[in-house]
Amino acid sequence: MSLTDSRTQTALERPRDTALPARGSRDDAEAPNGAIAAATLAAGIACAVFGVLVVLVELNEGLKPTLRESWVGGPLAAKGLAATAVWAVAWGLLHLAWRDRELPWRRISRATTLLVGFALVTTFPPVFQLAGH
Amino acid sequence: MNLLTDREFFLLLHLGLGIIFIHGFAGGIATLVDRTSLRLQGTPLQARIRAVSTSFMAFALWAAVVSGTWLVYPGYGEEPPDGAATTAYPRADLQANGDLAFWHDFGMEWKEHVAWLTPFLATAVAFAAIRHGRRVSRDTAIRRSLVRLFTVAAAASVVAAGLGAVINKVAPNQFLDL
Repeated sequence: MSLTDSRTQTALERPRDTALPARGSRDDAEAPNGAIAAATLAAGIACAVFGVLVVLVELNEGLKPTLRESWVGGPLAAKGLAATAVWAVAWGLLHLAWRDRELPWRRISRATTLLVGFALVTTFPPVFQLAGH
Repeated sequence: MNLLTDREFFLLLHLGLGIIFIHGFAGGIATLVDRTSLRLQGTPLQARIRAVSTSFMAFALWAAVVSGTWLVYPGYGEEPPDGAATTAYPRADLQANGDLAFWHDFGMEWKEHVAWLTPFLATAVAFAAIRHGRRVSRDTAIRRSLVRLFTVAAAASVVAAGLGAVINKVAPNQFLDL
């Protein structure tokens, strides 16, 4: 048997759950999906909040010069920092609530997709600029 | 002798993150999608490559939005003093030049906003890969969701990078020398 065949056979015979756990983590193949659900949904929430902030700032034209003067990086930095703060809080809370639970993944995935989709639409200039007109 | 001005250095740093991004995305997507390699499938090495690659991509995207927002954009968006020529003020120059205004009003506006979505998505994927690698390896539904988030993050980054390249070409760049 050639070296390649032997390697292939070894990999195929190896069970799928042999991935190494990170040090100090509760990583095992049967671990509940709550922590992953919390991370993905929090990312969706942060994206959606950022999208809402983009529209809100566009609706309040007077806000832009104020943010430009009072924040290093201007309105973009203010929106980014606010979304990051919401993300950190949402992730922390969801993680605490869900880390030991097995959740219906399809619902989590669908909710995350909807939130990210909303953010992609609201950060598209023709859409948020419409709010400003 | 100054080899680079601060602004040139910041722009190079911002652009250089693309190298980490590309490697992070390639390794991440190859190890998240099923059956990319029979040799690696389900092995500790696959999980390790997935964790390292997704972490690299998350790092590159955070560094890109932070450097873009706080180091590069302020120079681009600076307001010219009354009566001054706009050539050292890219945003003002684009907006003062008829058709070129599109590259700020659409191009830069899309770039700066869509880019900010990417680090949240990439970090979620990296977290799952690092802390719950075994569950990710076993669970096809979770892996599919992660592939979606990772791909959206990469696609949005490509949009942002592409628009940045075009704007860099269209707008005057004298501001980098200041």
